[in-house]
Amino acid sequence: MSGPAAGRAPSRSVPLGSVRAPRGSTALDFDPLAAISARGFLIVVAAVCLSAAVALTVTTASQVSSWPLAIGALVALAAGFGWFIRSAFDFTVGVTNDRYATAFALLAVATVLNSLGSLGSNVLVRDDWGLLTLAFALMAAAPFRTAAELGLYTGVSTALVTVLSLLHVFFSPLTAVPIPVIVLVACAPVLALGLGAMGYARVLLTGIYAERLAQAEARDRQFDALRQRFIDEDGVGAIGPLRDEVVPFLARLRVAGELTADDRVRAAELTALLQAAVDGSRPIDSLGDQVDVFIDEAGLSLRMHEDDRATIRAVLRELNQSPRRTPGSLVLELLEGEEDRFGIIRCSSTDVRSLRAEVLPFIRMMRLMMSTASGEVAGDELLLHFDLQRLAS
Amino acid sequence: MTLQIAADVDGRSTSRALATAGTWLAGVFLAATALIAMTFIPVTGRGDIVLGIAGLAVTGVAVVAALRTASHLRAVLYTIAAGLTLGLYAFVVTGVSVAAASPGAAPASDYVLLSMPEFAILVVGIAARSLGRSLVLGTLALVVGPGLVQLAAWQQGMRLALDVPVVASWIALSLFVVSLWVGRREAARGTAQMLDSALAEERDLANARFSARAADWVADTVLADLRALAAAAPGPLEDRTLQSLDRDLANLADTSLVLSGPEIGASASRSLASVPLLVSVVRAAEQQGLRIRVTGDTEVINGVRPSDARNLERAIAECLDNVRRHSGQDEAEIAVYFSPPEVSVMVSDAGVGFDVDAAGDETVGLRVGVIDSIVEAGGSVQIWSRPGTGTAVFMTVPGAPA
Repeated sequence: MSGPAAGRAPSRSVPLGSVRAPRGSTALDFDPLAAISARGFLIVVAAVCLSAAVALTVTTASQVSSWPLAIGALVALAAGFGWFIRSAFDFTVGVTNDRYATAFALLAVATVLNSLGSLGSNVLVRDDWGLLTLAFALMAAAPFRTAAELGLYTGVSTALVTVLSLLHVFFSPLTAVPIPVIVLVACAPVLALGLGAMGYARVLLTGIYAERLAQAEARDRQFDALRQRFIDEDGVGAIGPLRDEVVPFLARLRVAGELTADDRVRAAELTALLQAAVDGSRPIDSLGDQVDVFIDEAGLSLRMHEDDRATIRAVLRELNQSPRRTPGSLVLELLEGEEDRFGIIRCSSTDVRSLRAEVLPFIRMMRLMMSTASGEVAGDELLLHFDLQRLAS
Repeated sequence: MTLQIAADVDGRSTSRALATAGTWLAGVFLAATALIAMTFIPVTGRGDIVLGIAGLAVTGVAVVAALRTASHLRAVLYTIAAGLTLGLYAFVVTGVSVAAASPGAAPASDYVLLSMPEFAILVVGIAARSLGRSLVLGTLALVVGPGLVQLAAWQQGMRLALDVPVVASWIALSLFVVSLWVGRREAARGTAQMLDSALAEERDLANARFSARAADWVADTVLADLRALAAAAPGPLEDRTLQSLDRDLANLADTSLVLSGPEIGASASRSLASVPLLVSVVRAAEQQGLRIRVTGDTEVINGVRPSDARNLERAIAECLDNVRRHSGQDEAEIAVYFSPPEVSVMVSDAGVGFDVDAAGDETVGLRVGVIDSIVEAGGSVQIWSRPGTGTAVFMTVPGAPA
């Protein structure tokens, strides 16, 4: 693994055997950023399936008995994967079970049409691309759906493939091979990839869930360590004149047991000093440290949800680290309108399109974490817009 | 507390998951091949097919070993072993096929009994921990697997034919692996930055909380005592003043006392990492200013059916929203009980309460739609409240032990 992840020590300390994730959850529920790789994988799977379908249709044209059905199969295949991809790129809803069921149904229709399109003239069942694309669709669904749902789809696919292969046994001039062998050969890809997808979904979910628990432990450890450091570094005593002047003064009074007129004056002086120090020790917003200019007239920053703050901080850090950024040009503006609250990040660059490409994964990450987020280029400036919907009252 | 993203940054979980997928994939193809090969034993009367099937079994073990090992060298050796035993199987099976077939009717070397185990061996590289190693192992598998199979078929006098589906599968598998790695690399970059930012955010928040607590304590104690001293008449200090000074000096001698207590602790959602449903609702409520105490066997919620879990989540969120809006309190308690086969959750507060009997349908603390969805799914909702005695909402849904 390259990039920033390379030096990261694994945080896992939770034994996998003891981990059981909530029912109905998927790995993407806990690791939404993994949707980036899942989507890329889906596009490649779809491209491979469409290419294979077209190639096999052309190379086995002699086995096609109905061209309308054969072409309809290709259309259904494209529609199925199109819907699947559209769902995967829907950042708000994603690939729900209902949406995947729709895609699966279209692909199943494609499989049936492909099979019926060569009914009566099919020579080899293994040439039917429908059986393969159904199997690939199960594989591509592995990151998006649960192992139980994939098991159901694998069962449905196996039944469908069995029926279709039996249909060809009776209506097509297949080679003289025993029926169970034909059925087994037809079902093997669906079973192999379906069971593989189930295993992938289950093991990945367990691993990611264990990682989540380990990270929670790490956060606890960090919190305790920070608390101890605050104590060790005398964070309380560091408030203004507390340790150097107030403590000796109070200790002397305690020993003397008596208050003089000078002590009253000194107490008043220390009160003023300490009050100013207490007021000054109130936490300031660290998000502003990440930018050159920070505009937040409505005081939204400290009311923002911690996840949103972390997301914006990640984007700002990435922009800060970029050599393409024009120094001094990074601006974070948080604005409150009449009905909505939103933010804008501005950053100038002499090569602003490359800068945008560089931070594209982070723009996608913003879309995952916030309701709306977009990035656009305006002149030599990169503008990132995002909505703020989660604010403390 | 912050950003409950669990990321497989080092790729171990993905690698393990891919190894499992590869194991199933190879297992199914090899098992199907073995089953088909077995049917030829009674037909041909050739007992040496058993030797070929034994070779297939060793191939399967070697493929699984290559998928599971963390050592690239061992993965290479296991792949070669898988190829050699697959070659043994192919030598036996092609020999039987050529001998059993009538002259000129013997299958070519791309027939299904050879293709399926070739698919199985191609997956050896998918779980490797780098793209380069993955592609090297996959290509090695293509050479020693289908390569040796073709060699065995040629040795037995079988007509040679390029197995197009196998070559296409190798290309497709390589494309899949490349796309996965490219996507993973991009995601990992974002994830690592995100996790660092989340930790930094959490660090800032903790330090802010400590600073605020320290400032509050100084303002409430030392500063108040100094003000009292500045306003007091000269003379001997009262016992009460001396006790205050003793307390201040003791706390300043050991400031860990200042930073103890529940108010300085982390949010309730931090301890709920294993119960995602509660994390989301508790965190949202905390973000709105509520302090939540969670008790009971919380993890049983993980066993609730997804549809019931969604209803429960909505109901708890609504209860907490009601506490925030109407109770006059900023504290609430969520208690989870498991009484097989039901999971119960009680959300309670010690606020102003209300007269349940006098309240209309839309103001009983939960929207009717939320109650209906729980009841229709076989659960129940009970609300207890009286003016001045707080409110408790008791919800039960069917569940299974997590």
